[in-house]
Amino acid sequence: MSWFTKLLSTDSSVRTYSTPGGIKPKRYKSASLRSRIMPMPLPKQLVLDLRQYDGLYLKPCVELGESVKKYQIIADPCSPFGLPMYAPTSGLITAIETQLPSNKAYLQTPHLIIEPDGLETELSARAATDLETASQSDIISAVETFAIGGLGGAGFPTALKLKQSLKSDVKTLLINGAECEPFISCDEALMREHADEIVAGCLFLTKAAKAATCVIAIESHKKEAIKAIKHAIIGQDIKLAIVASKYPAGSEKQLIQSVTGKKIPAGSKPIDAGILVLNVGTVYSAYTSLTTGQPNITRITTLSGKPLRTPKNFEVLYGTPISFLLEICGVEKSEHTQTIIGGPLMGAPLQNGNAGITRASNCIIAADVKTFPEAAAELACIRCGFCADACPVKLLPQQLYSFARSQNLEQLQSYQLNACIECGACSYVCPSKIPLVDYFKAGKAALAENAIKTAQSAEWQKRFQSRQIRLKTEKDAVLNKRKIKTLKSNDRVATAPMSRAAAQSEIAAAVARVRKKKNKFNPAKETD
Amino acid sequence: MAPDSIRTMPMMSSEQTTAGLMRRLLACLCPGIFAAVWFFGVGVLLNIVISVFCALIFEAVALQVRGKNIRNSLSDYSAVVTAVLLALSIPIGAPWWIVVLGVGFAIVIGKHAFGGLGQNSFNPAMCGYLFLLLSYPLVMTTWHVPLTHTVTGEVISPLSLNGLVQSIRASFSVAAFNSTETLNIIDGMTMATPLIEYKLAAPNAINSAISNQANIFDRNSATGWEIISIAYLLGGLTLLKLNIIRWQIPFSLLATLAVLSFIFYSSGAAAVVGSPYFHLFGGATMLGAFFIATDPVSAATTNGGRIAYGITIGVCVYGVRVWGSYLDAIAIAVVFANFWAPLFDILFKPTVYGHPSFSKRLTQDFQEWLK
Repeated sequence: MSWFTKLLSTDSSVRTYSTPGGIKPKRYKSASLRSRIMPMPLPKQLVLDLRQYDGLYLKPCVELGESVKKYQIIADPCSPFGLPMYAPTSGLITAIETQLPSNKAYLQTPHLIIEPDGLETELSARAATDLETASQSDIISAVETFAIGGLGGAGFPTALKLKQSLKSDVKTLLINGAECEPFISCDEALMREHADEIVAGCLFLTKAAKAATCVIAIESHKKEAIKAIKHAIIGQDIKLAIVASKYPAGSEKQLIQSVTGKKIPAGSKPIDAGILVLNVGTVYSAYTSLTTGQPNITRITTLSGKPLRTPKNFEVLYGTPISFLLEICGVEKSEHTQTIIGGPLMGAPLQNGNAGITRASNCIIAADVKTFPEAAAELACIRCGFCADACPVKLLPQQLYSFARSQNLEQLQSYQLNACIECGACSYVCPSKIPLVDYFKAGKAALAENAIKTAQSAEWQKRFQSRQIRLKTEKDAVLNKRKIKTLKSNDRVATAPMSRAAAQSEIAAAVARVRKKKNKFNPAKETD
Repeated sequence: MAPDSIRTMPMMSSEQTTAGLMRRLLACLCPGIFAAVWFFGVGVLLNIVISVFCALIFEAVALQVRGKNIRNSLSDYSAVVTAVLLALSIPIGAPWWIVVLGVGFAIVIGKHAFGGLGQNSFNPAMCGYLFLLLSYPLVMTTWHVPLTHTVTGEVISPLSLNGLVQSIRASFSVAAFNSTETLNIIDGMTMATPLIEYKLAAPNAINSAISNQANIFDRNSATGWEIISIAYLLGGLTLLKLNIIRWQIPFSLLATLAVLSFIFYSSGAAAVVGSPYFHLFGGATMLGAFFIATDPVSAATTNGGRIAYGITIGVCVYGVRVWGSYLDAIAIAVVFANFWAPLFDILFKPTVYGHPSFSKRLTQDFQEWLK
């Protein structure tokens, strides 16, 4: 019926394409969407993780005990691919130390800890960017200095993405408002309440990317967000795409497939197909920074879960400790079993409640035992193929699973394990409760390790061979020289047989030479 | 390459469990079982009870011997499904030890000798059935005339207490150990399935029987097999609706069978090979298509592979029924197709996102070859 209603409706939205696989888990989004986005009170301390998206660390440029102002740069990136860190509020640097980040159990990372003084003394704002007068490079450099990074989960610097457009044409700027994972509702809340700002941000970024068209993609069940965006784009050159609501519709490649029908070949980037994907949250933060002239220090984070008395979307400062956020929402301690950072499908259990919010923390879920029961025992795979039906990239998880178990790297490679986007749809549907994604992550790691090993051994072999060749040429050269020498001396013997007198004079000369040498080394003997 | 000890993701999982799937599969078998009981008597249930009971014992022993967790594996109902499917394929009134032998072979050799659930290359129930068919061909091919349970010649309702007593007597008769006497009893009270009738060139009797039946739900009718098939079909459609099985295998199997029987059927002299209707609704076609061929472990697991697998079974069923020397062929065809399943999975590997499709690769290779 849906195609029929689509035919009848006078929708201005662009045509979408169907994508394979996907799952439809219960959404759990309504609880956190009941209220508006709320600001968060200042916590006692802000814990800022210095590890950036690519695993490199930021270098602190403040001293311990130094008092910093709001919007002051407190850490610089070591590489040109990083973003500087700005102080989210004014206060004292009370510690620069290593501790666990929120979602990793095995990696201590350096952290900066700020104790807010509550005065909010701030650095003066830079000039706001004007859409009409600013050039493409103006906007890009502003986006870079304001530390705008991807808020969809990866935290990739937006300026780097925009700079790609300097080299190749961008046909479509795709704004990702799909947000398909259960519980997470920060983007939806943003689109409901700040549609105009998002659309204005789109105009900025369309200009920055020199994009031919700009499309905002929203999942079909987000009715209010669609309404708000539809209203906001009236009169603008921005299109709306309503994509089927299923997980993982919001994954970059899947979103591109459902909006444009194109698939990004393995090993190439969306920009190679003329597409640039940005998250709505990123667009909003870019807009606010560009118009206020202040860097990005907050993001919208969803706090949800049954044990929370007031699940909501909050505008939180980076570094706000997660335990503080949970406290503000009122956790029912008796129900609360664990906390999840990120969505329930791609997220991870909380490792350190003291850790702060980062660019990637889009959602914090207080889990209860009913919604998140303990992982059931892993049973035998019955090859039902539910996982293959759920896979958005058309892998065969049931086959890959047996290859991963038997460590068959060759087959893992030939069944294209590396195309796996680790969305977890296969694990979700598995009736035998096999943690397929965990197997695939391990398999991918083994493949990568194997690739490195193969490359290394090839390199070693090459070096060994070139050494062999070098040694051989050297040896040959020596041999050749000797050969020539002997040939020459042979020639001399053959052509000029020595006379007695000549021999004697030569012997005398040799004796003189030796004596001279002796005297040189032992001059005392001479005086004797 | 085992995953890290910490299970990372996803934190959420669907409510579907293997045991749940098997339970729903059993529930979907119920209409068919009910119809079978209606027409063949409580002997059907007797077979099922013996079969399930023995299957659980065999399963437990096999798991114990293999050093596996008995509770986890027994509670997945897979042994029960195997046992029920096998029991439904064994003629009613077959001696009890036939059932025990069959189910023992199915569980111990068909399943655990290969490595247990998920590892068996062949459908265990059908392995058990073939084992019985090859060892006791006569017992395995003699079915009651639907309804009439006439050891003494009189008509007894199979659902009555007397019917129960009769079927228990048939199953547990002391004579059952002695095959010549068993034969005597069976000869007195059995008739072949409609397929056998066709095979023995007596199609007209069946045709007239059908055309004369005013009320097909009358238990005196000879159309019991059709009703049972329709019941299995309904159960199978429910399975499809519940998303427990995929449409590819049953659809391609039934379509192949229908097409083949349509091609070779002419209502005149060649009627011996059976009309499409008879191939679909006489015999175990529906049970096989929806419940046996769809066993995920031993079937093909890619979508294209499933279609090829279904076609293979369809062709094989038709071939054996019409030109072979066996009466019904579901078991033979399923085990035959099991051999092919791994190959079909390789041939019909889907194109992974971001990688060139098979045809694209072919054209690329061809272009390179041209150069």
